[in-house]
Amino acid sequence: MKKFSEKLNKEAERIVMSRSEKNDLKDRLLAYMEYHPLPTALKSEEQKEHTQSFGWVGYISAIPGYQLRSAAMSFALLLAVVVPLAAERTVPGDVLYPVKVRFNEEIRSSLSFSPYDKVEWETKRIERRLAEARLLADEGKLTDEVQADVVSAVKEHSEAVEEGIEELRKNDSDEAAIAEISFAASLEVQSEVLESERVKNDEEGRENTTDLIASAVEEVKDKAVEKEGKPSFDKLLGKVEQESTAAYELFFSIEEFTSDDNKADIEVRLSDAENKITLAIATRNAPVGEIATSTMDTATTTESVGVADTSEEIASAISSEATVAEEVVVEEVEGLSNEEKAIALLREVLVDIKKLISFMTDIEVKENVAIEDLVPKELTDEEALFKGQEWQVTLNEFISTYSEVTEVTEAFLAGKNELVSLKAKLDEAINTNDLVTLRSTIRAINALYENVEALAPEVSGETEAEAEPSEEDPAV
Amino acid sequence: MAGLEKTGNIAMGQEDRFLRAFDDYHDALFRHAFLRLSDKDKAIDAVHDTYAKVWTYVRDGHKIEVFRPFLYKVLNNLIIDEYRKKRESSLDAILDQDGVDEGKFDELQENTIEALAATIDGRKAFEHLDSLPDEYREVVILRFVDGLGPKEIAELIEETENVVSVRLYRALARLRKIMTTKPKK
Repeated sequence: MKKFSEKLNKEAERIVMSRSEKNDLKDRLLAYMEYHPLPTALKSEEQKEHTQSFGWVGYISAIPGYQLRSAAMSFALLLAVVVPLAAERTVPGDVLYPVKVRFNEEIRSSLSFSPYDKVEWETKRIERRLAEARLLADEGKLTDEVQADVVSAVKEHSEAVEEGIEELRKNDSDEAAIAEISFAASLEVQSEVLESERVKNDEEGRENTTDLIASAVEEVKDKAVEKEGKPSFDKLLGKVEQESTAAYELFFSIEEFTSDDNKADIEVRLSDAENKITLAIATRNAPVGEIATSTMDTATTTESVGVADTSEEIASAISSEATVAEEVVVEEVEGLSNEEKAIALLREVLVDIKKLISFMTDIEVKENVAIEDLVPKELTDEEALFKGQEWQVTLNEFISTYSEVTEVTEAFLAGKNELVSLKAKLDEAINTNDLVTLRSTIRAINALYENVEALAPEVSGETEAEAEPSEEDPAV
Repeated sequence: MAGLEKTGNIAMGQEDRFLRAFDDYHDALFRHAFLRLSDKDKAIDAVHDTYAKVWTYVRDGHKIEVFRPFLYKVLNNLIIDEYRKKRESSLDAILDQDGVDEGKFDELQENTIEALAATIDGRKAFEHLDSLPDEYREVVILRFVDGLGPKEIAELIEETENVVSVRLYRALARLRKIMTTKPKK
């Protein structure tokens, strides 16, 4: 048989077209194809298939044999789904950790199309690195090496955030400013969590291993807060409303399995936030010079007051059109326009809501930080006045105690001067019954006072006891 | 013989695949057509028409996974058309003749054909191919020149494998008979 077909073939192989016949045939065919081209629909479809088939599915479907193909498919599935899922739960040092950081997160990164999404995602990545670090620290596995990695990751991602913000600024400075505020808020939360953990460790006499990270976060946070821009009122309001909707949704979704105490706490703060928003709108619409004096009792009354104010204000605004020029001058003298005050209020709300959201989502945060530390409950008008007066007394004491002391660090001196100016602001707010300024001043003092006091407690304690009499004695 | 074909993979564009199929198979198709039609120009035309038809099929949005059998099928149909034009009666006569006996050779196996083929001188047989009726020549060429398996041939000429085997056996027997009665052409 072989012989037969071989010989037959040998003869048959002599039957060939000449080169010119071949070329002619090909030319004819090409001409035919040219006059009968593929329909464009088919071509574009072909292109689509083209690109699709370059994916891994394409490679797999090219593998012959059903069993081999399905085996390859399960392997690919393992690589594409199971491994990344498993990797999500890893911490530095785990085998799959690089998959989480270099694959999952990078993919996620490349899926964030708008610069704003990118900023939010990079912020989230910082939060993830810190959460991992805290987890390792809890288990006593946080080595110096990992700590250094986390620090550099925090820096890297915050640089990415800044890049994203710069990119945003090119098109939309409001968005950029909002992104800056969100970023600062997130870092504030993280910084507070690390701080509270440090305090807890100190109390329990355990070694604290996250110092390096904490200081890195602190540094980035300070930079972020410093750089914060001023968004327009409307854009900021939009963002605040978006975030508060998200916060409410989150709240309803965790309502079932949250303790009643926690629930009440969150509810109070959410309605606080709403009241503040109403107040901000009212402040913005209030005629210049008049201070919004809405009450913080309940959301409904505040709201109705806000609405009433608004209509009255519009009427008065129209009647006083002639005095606009004067009013502008007055505004400048007073320093802050109503618009600016309203923006400052909204900024507070945004930060509070951001913190609330992280409180609700981040278990780690919930475990370590009391909600009161994170978002202090809003003071009612009476409480604010009372607290303001309390601070007046405390600050008076503080200032008189340290006014004579000269042997202090520069940082303490700067802090003290800051407190002195805050005290002046406080006095003025109480005298003019400016509750908005009063609340923000109290908040600022709350944040600053302990830090300043902590800077020179021993020096002051001793110098106060020794220096005062020794200075006074010669005088007497 | 009929393993993985080289005619591009799925990722290639239709045009590229088609042109690759031309480069890969036009020689074999021409040889086949020439042996069947015994006319060089007609054979070239048949090859051209084959590719033109296949191209039209692709243009209509059809997918061709493997080109080789498809091309043979189209060429074969064209050759049959050509025969119908030329000597319709004799083809019918042969078909009728075949129809009577086919199916009686159930036990006929590939090795029976091989055994028979082994008794024939391939070089000499080649010279006598055009003495065979096209029905017979078709299967002989497909089997021994184009190297298609019985199953492929069966699909191509739309007959059962059994019929193909029977026809092959008869073709070879006829060929041997012709060779002995007409030693030199």
